[in-house]
Amino acid sequence: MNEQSEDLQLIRQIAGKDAGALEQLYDAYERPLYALAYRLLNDAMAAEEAVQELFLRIWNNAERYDSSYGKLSTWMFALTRNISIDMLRRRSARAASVPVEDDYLKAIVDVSADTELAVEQTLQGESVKAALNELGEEQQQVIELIYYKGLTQQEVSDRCSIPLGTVKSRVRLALKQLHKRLSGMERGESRV
Amino acid sequence: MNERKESIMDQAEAYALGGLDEAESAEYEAYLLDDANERKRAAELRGTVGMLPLALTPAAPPSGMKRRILARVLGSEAPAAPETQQQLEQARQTIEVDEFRRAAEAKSGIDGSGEPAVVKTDRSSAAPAVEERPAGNDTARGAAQRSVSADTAVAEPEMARRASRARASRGLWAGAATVMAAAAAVLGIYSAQLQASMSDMRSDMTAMQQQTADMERQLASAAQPPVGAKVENSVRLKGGEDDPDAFGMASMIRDENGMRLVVQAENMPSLSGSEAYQIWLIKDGQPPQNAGTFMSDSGSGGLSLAIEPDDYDTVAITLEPDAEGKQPRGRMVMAAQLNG
Repeated sequence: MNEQSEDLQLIRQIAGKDAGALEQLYDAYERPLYALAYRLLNDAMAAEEAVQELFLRIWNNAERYDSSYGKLSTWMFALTRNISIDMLRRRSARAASVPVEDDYLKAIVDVSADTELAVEQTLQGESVKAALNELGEEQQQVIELIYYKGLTQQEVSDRCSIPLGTVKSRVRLALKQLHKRLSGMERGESRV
Repeated sequence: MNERKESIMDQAEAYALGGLDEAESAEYEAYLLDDANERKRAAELRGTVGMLPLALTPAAPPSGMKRRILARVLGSEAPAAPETQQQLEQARQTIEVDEFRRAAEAKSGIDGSGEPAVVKTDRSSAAPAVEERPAGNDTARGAAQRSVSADTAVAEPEMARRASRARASRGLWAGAATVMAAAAAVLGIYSAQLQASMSDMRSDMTAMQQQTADMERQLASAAQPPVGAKVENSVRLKGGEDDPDAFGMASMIRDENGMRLVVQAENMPSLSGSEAYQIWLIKDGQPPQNAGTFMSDSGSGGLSLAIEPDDYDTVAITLEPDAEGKQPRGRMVMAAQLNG
């Protein structure tokens, strides 16, 4: 069974309120989803809240997943980002919860219990990291500000005093280059 | 393709990355509807962006996160929003108070429809949620009452007594209802405060569990024998004027647990009484940091400790009157520049 079919089957089972299928999905993606939420929110409690909100939405609205959108992981990462960015925008007025030291984030993952998928995620992560490192500093900056800080191109332009056209151009070139480097992996038979 | 569409399509990458504002996104999505090729391109770009999180440094989720999340998600089943629950609770309290009042009135033989305006005012202040009757009905009711009274003039004293008792009884029950409503409101507020406190405590507990897990991980890691340790820097310690024969070695060794400083010294002056050798780490302009004490009868000894490699630039060994000093009190035996 290929990746898309597996995703579809899993999400259908979840739509049918199969708790085991939800747990399977959770186990497969807990770490990368949490890492993304933590990276965006820089707060362990808030990151857990974001992951919880994601799985609530999946559990209650699994039927909304449309495979034409992309892989299940792409959909989940996009939802996690949206949830986290919304939380970032809302929480400015709220008291910040206890921040976790950076060392916590840097904790080395215990690979002893890793599944094949986790190893695959790690290897792919290395490829993505390498592709990101090949980008120019300015291109990395726009990705950081837009993807991880939730700014629009216009906001990046305003904040960094860069002409909007330049921001757009950097975004376009960065994504094109990443796409070129990673398209093989995207099409690959990997689960992630 | 017209110019506008071309301009919007140029934003495919920004759309996938999440860099368009709402209006721009909506415009782009509108174009997507009519263009299968662009839809395919957008999906591919989303796939690329969807891989970015894989490059993040792995983060270990807090201890027990899976259990908490699955319990909350699987137990959720479309819960009512907190505001809705509060409204429901208020409505329930209002209904209870109203029912209580009705029961009380029934017990005292009073039919609410015949009550005079003054009683109605009392009640409305006791339970604001109880529906008010149109003012015009009071006039009609008053007229009817007057008519009945006229027809039964003989029974008037008895009726007056009953009405008086009824008013008193209604007043009592209305008072009771007021107290109950106030108590319900106080309990509601108290309950909300308790829930908020519980939520805070739960948050604190999660943070503490997380810190505990982190520390346990660090402890477990520290207890493991080092693998692949590498000496990054070694410096010779030279004895001072008083101890020209003393010498030693300070090495900075990096392993998977971080950086360690290992100090070994020879031919140091003999110790007497409670004297001890003490190692100090020094950074320009800052007080020396105690890095540990050791004793030796032979004039040889040393110790190792974890350090941040860039934090200090000099290591020194002193001869101290005892092993309890927080600042150097004795004399310098030997020293060396760490980053020299």
